[in-house]
Amino acid sequence: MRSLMKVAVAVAVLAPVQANAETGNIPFNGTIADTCAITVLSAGTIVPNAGYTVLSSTFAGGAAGTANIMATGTGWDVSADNPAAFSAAPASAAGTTFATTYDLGGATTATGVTGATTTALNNGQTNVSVDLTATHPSGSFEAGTYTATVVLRCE
Amino acid sequence: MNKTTSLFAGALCLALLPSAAIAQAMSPMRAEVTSFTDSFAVRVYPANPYQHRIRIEVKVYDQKFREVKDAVVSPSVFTLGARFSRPVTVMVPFDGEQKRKVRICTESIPFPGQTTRIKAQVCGKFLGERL
Repeated sequence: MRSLMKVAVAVAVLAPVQANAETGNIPFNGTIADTCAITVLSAGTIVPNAGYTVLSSTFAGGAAGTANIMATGTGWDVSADNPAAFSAAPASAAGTTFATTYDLGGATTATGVTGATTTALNNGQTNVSVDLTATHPSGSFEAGTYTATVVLRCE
Repeated sequence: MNKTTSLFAGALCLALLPSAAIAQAMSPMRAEVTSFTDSFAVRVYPANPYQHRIRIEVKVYDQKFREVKDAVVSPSVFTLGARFSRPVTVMVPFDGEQKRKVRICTESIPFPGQTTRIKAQVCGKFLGERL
């Protein structure tokens, strides 16, 4: 009987140890708000034409303002408002008229869109390039610093 | 309508609104709010997506983009640190109407001193309905 018990103990000791493997699920959750974010990358530069009657970012030496818009869904529109007036300029520039256009690239594409026209944004990052043209009401622009602000809107 | 009731209604409306997400320009951007007072309240979360701090202004406009002067925005102008957002409370009077649609816009000018500045404006559309 004792021999039998010794054999049983030896078998028990030599038997492979089997761990019980259990699995568990760890949930991960995340929420992205349905919204859009504008990041202005660079301001624009307007320069005069040969006759100094028009200032534009499209002329040689000028530069468009750039921004990108990150839309996390659909249903958002972009537009760009004309300035009502220069925020800084010589008095002789009163009555200047403005025209704004924008180009879109990336998730949404469009070219030469009039600023007031809204364009539906696709989900993702859209690169925006904004051009501004200012036309003197009667004569030519005199020496001075001219500053105008375009409102780039996502709504 | 006494002030306590109005504040309570405002707080109730705030509690019913969804909470914010970080690093977005503004959230939420759509909401319908009911109120049993003469005004309705909305809480929005302007966010700064830049790597530097910016000056932010929150304004309320009607459907024709005329500024709603009697809306109360708190705070209306503030500086927001990089990649940060903060709550802003907006109280909009019904102005005698049963419903009122407004735009609440977060505006910023990150590059002053250039000849052509771009003001980023992110607008949400909100509908207030009086019970």
